[in-house]
Amino acid sequence: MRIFWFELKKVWKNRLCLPLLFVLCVITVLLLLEEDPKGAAGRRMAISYLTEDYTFYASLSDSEKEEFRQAMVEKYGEDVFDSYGVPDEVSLSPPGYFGENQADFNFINVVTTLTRFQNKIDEIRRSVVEAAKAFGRDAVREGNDYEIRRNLDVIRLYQKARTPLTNEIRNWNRFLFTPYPVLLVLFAVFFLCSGIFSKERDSNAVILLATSANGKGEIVVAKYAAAAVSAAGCFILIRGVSLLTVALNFGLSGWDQPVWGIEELAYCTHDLTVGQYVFLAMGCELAAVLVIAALCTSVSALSKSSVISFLINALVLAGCVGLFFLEPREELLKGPLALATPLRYFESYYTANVLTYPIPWMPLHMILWGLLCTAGVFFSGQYFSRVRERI
Amino acid sequence: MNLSVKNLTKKYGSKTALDQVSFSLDPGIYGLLGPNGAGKSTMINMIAGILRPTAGEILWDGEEIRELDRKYREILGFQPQQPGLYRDFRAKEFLRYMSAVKGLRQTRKEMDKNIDRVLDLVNLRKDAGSMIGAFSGGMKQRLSIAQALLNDPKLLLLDEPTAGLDPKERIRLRNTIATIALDKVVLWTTHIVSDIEYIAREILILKEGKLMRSSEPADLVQEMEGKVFLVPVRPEDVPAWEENALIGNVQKRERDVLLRVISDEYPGGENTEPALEDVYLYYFRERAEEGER
Repeated sequence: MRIFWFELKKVWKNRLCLPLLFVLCVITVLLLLEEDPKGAAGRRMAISYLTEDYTFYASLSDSEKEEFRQAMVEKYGEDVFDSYGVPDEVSLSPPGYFGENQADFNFINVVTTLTRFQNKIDEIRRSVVEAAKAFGRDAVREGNDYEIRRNLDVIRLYQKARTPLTNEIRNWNRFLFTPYPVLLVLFAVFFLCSGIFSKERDSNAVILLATSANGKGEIVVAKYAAAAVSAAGCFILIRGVSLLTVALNFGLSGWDQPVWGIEELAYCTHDLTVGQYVFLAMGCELAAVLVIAALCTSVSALSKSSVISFLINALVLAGCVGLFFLEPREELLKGPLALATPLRYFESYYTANVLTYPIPWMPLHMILWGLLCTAGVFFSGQYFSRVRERI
Repeated sequence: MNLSVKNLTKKYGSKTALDQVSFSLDPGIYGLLGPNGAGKSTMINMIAGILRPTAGEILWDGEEIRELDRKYREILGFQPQQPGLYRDFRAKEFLRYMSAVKGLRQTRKEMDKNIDRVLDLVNLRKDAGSMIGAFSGGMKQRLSIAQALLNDPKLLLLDEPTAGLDPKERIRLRNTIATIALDKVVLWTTHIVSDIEYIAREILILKEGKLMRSSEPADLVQEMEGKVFLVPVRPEDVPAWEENALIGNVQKRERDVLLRVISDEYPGGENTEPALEDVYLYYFRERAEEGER
């Protein structure tokens, strides 16, 4: 344990480390901030009013909701909930249906949003049921067929009742689907981990380590642990800053809403809230970051010098990012960054066929990359001691 | 406590860096003397276990060091020629790290006490809190020796430990090592004869990968009896003498120059008492210019 703390200290004592992290945090804030502080305050206020509207609407009984809908159709026409129309003066001006200070337009928007999401869910469920029907009951009975079981799994999930939306949630798209913060974390990890072993070789310190009692396994394990903790630290810092930026800029509204309300996640088959999904997504991103950290550390252990280590790791990182954005057809070719996309990996529609059983990609990727990292640690230990004999 | 080296050979491709070297060391200080490129560092690195011999064996108390593995590293203290020290660490912090790496089972208090002890030995106590990056070459060298002493090693390997030290520190270190070496096997490689002349129990002379001699300093000096002469010459004759004879010293006097000549045959002048430096020059006459005297 003592060695681990010193190894951690070595990583963070790099004079460029803290300035780099500071710059990366500033870049994160700038990339996620869309508006000036005044605009953000206005937006937060608007969202708080919206939250009140959603909460109020959710508190109504079904009959009260239906009465409101009827009244709005009578007042503004049949297509009042079909799309977000341009507000007219009547709908914008209180008094409205719900009282002296309430404009109808706000509640029309709430109902329009909720209706659109409900329609989307109904459409998905219909298409899945139709697909299931196409397989036929007989096929299911005969079946040990992977495709059928996979689809039945999806049908079962979509037949569950869905929690209705009661608040605005679209702000979270920005946090969940902006890839830059994770890329910045990866850059920090590349910077911190590429020299973990190779710098010992550059400075000849490896001789001192190699002739010490704990010089074999313990140092290798301590270095990997320091790399993992440093990577996690960078991730928590930069992703924490991005979460804080989004929260300060747009508020936390929608945190407790069902995740399928976010357009990109409409097909999500799990009953999660946005907040849960945010943490799930961050967990997946962290897993990807840890794998990249282990890869960078392994390359550092297997390289003769830091220059070689940094060059190879730059290529590795570019390859991982490239594979992720190019999206090759073969799932396994998407590289470790694919771990960072829970949307795909926790989606039952999208599973690997292992011995005819549908296994979600996430655990599969975790196992495969975990094995690769373990091999990296093992070979680092071997090579570290072999290098000593060539000194 | 015994370190035995048997027929130790190291080859790099077709080049033989060390050729069938054998010796046995009991507690005491042993000087490994040789010019640059003689194979001193190769040998000490093999004894430290960081180079694998091409042939031969290295035994600690009769057991092969590779088989002893961790047990061997626990009793080993090694000060390499070019140590890698962490410039962003403070001296004390670095020694704490090395204590952990050496697997010393100590409480924080015991560890700090031990660190203070070794810092005192190398006269760095007052610089314990300074960054290593701000250390001079000599201070780094002393810190490197301090880390080698942390585990109170039974076998202490010092590879050119006095390089970069000023005369005062050089003498201090020599006395320190002489004091702590009573219950240790210390192998001290150097090409500076005065470092080990008075403290070495035995001197091993290595030349072009071969062990030329292994004897007590007094015996080596005795062998040189009748081979060292003080020859007065005219100043203008000095270059010719330097060209044709092995000159140990050139002393300018009022009217002439007194040369210290090492020779198997009588070159003139008068015979004088030999010193260990004369032995060194005698054995390394072809390469003497490379050595730093």
